[in-house]
Amino acid sequence: MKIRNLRYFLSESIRSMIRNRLMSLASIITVASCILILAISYFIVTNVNQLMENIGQSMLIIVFVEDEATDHEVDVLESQLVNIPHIVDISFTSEEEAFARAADEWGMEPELLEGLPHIMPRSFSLELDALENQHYVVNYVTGLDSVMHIRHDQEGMDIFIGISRTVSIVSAIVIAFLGGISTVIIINTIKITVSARKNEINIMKYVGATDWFIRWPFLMEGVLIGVLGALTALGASYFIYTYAVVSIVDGVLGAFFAILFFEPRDVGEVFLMLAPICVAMGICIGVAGSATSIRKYLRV
Amino acid sequence: MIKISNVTKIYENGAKGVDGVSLEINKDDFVFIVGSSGSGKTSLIRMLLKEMEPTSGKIIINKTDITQLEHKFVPFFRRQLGVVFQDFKLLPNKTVYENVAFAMLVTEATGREIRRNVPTALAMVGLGRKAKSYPDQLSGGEKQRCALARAIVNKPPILIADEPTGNLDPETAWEIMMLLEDINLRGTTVVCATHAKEIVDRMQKRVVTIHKGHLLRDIEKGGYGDED
Ligand SMILES: Nc1ncnc2c1ncn2[C@@H]1O[C@H](COP(=O)(O)OP(=O)(O)O)[C@@H](O)[C@H]1O
Ligand SMILES: [Mg+2]
Repeated sequence: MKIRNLRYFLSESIRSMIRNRLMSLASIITVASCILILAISYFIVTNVNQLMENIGQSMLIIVFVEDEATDHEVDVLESQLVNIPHIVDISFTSEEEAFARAADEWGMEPELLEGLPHIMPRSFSLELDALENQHYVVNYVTGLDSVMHIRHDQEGMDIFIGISRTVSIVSAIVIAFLGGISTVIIINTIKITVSARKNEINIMKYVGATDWFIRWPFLMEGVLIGVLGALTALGASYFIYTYAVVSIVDGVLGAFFAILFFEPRDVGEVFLMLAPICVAMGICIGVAGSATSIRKYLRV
Repeated sequence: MIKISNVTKIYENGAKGVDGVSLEINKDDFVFIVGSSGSGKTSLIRMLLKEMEPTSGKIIINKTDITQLEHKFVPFFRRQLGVVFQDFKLLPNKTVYENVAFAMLVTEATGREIRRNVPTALAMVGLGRKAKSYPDQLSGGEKQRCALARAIVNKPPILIADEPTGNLDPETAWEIMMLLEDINLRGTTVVCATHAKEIVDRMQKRVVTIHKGHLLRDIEKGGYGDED
C-alpha cells in the first residue's frame, strides 16, 4: 500500500466517521465500556495475585521433626527440604528455641520451667514463593523420613485460590460477552456507512477499484473506532486506578491491607502491561466488525 | 476487439434479458445498440462490464474470455473500459476534479500522472473551468461531461455508454454525442446503447438493433429504423 493511498483511506474513513458521528460515538462508547471492564478485571486480578503472593510468603509451612530422629537424620531432612522447588527460605527451630518461645507465649518466665522435660518438638519453617504451591510442597514433605507432622493453613489457601479463580472466570465471561456486543454494534455502524455508500462502492468498482482498495477505508474506520474506544477506556481506567483503588487501600480497607503488608501494584507497571492489550483488543473488535459488515457488498 | 457469441441472459425471475445474441465489434468502431425500452440493451452492457454473468454464451474482450475471468482479475479488466451511464454516477461529495482523479487513484497511478492527465481530460470535454465545482452545482450536460472525462482519463481502449443522453435535452445530447465521436476518432472503440432515434439517424454509424432480447438488424452505416 502506497503512502498516498494510506492518506486517502485515512481521510475517507475520518470523513465517514464524521458523517455518521452519532453511530460512531455509540460504537466508541461501547468498545470503551467493554475495554474498561477488561481493565478493571485486570486491576482486580493482578492485585489479588499480588496479595496472594504476599500471603503465600507470610503463610509458613511448619514441618515438625519426629522426637526420636537423630541429629544426622535432621541434617538429611534439611538437605532434602533445600532441594524442594518453590521454597524460598528455610529456618530451623531447636527444642530449646521452641521451648523458650512457648514459654514466652504462655507468659511464663523460662526459669520457672527449668527442669521440666523438653516436650517441644524440633521444626523447620518453610517460606514459599507463592500460595498456590503450598499443596505441592506439603505433599512432597509428607513423603519424607523423620517428619512427624506438618502444619499449614489449608483453608486460607483454598479461600484465596478460590477468590482469584472466581475473579478470573467472571471477568473472562463478562469480557467475552461485552466483546461480542461491541462487535455487533460496530457491525451495525459500519453497515449503515456501507449501505449509505453503496452507490459509491459501485462506482469504485466501475472504474476498476480492487476489493482491497474499497475495503481499506472501512477497515480503517473500524480500527479508528477500536483505538479511540481503547484510549477512552485507558484514560478512564487510569483515573479509576490512581484515585479509586488507592483510596480503597488507604481508606476503608486500609487496616485490613496493612495487616497483610499489601501495597497495590504500581500504576505505571500495570498500564505498561494493560495499554497494549487494550489497544490490541480495540483493533480486533473494530476490524472484526468492519470486515463482517462489508463482506456482502464486495461480491459483484 | 469485442466478440459476443450466442449470449443469453435469463434472470432469476425467469425474465429473458438477452436471447442468443452474437456480435463482433472491431477496434475503432463506433456502434449504436438500439432498441425500444426493455429490449435488452442494458442487460447486454452489464454483461460486457462483467457486472453480471450470461446464462450461456461467451464474451471475449481484448482476447480475454471475460465469462471465465476470476473475481480478482475483474478490477484490472474494468480498467480497460471507460463507462458512462444515463444517471452519470458521480460521487456527490467530491469535486469534478476529484471525481476524475478518483478513477486514476484507484489504478494506483502516480500523483504526477494524475496532475497531468486529469486537466487534459477535463479540457477535452470542455469542463476545465468547473474543476472545483461539486456535481450538484452542474447542469445535466456538465455532469455527463464530467463522467466522460472520468471514463477516458485512463485512456481505455473501449468506451461503453448506456443511454448517455437519456437525461439530457436534445441540444445537450447532441454535444455529448459529438464528444463521443471525438473520443472515437482519437482511437477508442465506442459502444453506445440508446433509443434516441434522431441522434442515431443523424450520426450515420453502425447500428445494431435488439428487439425482445434478439438481434434484429446490424447495419454498417445507417439510421435507427433502417433496413438493409
Ligand atoms: N434485474 C433484473 N431482474 C429481472 N429482470 C430484468 C432485470 N433487468 C432487466 N430485466 C428484464 O430484462 C429485459 C431487458 O431489460 P433491459 O436490459 O433493461 O432493457 P433496456 O436497457 O433495453 O431497456 C426486460 O424485460 C426487463 O424487465
Ligand atoms: Mg436500459
